[in-house]
Amino acid sequence: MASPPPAPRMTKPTQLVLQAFLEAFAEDPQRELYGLEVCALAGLQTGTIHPILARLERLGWLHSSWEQIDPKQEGRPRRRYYRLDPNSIATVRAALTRAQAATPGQRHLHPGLAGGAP
Amino acid sequence: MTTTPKAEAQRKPRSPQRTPLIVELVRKVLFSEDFLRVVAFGSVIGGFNDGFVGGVSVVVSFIVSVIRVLRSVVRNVVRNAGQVGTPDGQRTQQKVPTAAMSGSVPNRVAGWSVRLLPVQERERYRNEYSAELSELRGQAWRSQVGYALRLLAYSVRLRQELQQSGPAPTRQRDR
Repeated sequence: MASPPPAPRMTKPTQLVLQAFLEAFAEDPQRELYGLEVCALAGLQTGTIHPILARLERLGWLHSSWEQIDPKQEGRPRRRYYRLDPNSIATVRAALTRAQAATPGQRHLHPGLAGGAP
Repeated sequence: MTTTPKAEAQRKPRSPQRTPLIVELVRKVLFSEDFLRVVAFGSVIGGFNDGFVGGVSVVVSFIVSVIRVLRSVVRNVVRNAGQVGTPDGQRTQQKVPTAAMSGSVPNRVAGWSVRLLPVQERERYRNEYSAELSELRGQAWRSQVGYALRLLAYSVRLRQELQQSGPAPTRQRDR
């Protein structure tokens, strides 16, 4: 029997990112977020989240795909969109709860801390 | 007797203006990508290590850049003399152009961070960073540079994550 993947490092930025995805999912289960949007929602600085996204993607908690647009028509490059895996919602919630219980001082997260949109 | 400018030009072929070798070398070293790249790294690392490691990194990078530039100059000289190199004088190993990550400083810095990633992932992140940079274009130049420097600072961690993961299902699907 294959063993489940090891639990990820639930650093504070990881928790913020997951929280942002959960909130987006609660608003609209089909909602996808791109890098800068995740930064803004999580209150993290731009350019800091790609390792987290890669880790969560490796775990299968996130999926990513290219935006379906014609870059020439839109006048901008295609974005890379990320969305929560619907089958992993329960796992993500449980992991977040565990992590927040382990670090009670960090229970209340503050989006908009550093460079993110208020 | 008057000569036409055309005849003058035929008689005296213009030799290209030559800059002194030392000026050329210094310019090449200072503007070489390796040097700029490691200076940026030195700054980032220095930020985390009270400047000492960053300073050492910059000095080492300067020495490495000097050696690399000297080596390329010597190679060019020897190749022009017709002793080595391919018969048509072309380089056998050419760099892959990174059009999306050239030009402005933030683009270049983001391009360097892409080069630190595993080869199979570079195209994806080059496009992703390029898209994000284009979104930031309306913002201050400083925030664009900050974004690019943070990409650079986090690229080692991203590389580790990507190396641990291998191709994820969604990444395989995209190709």
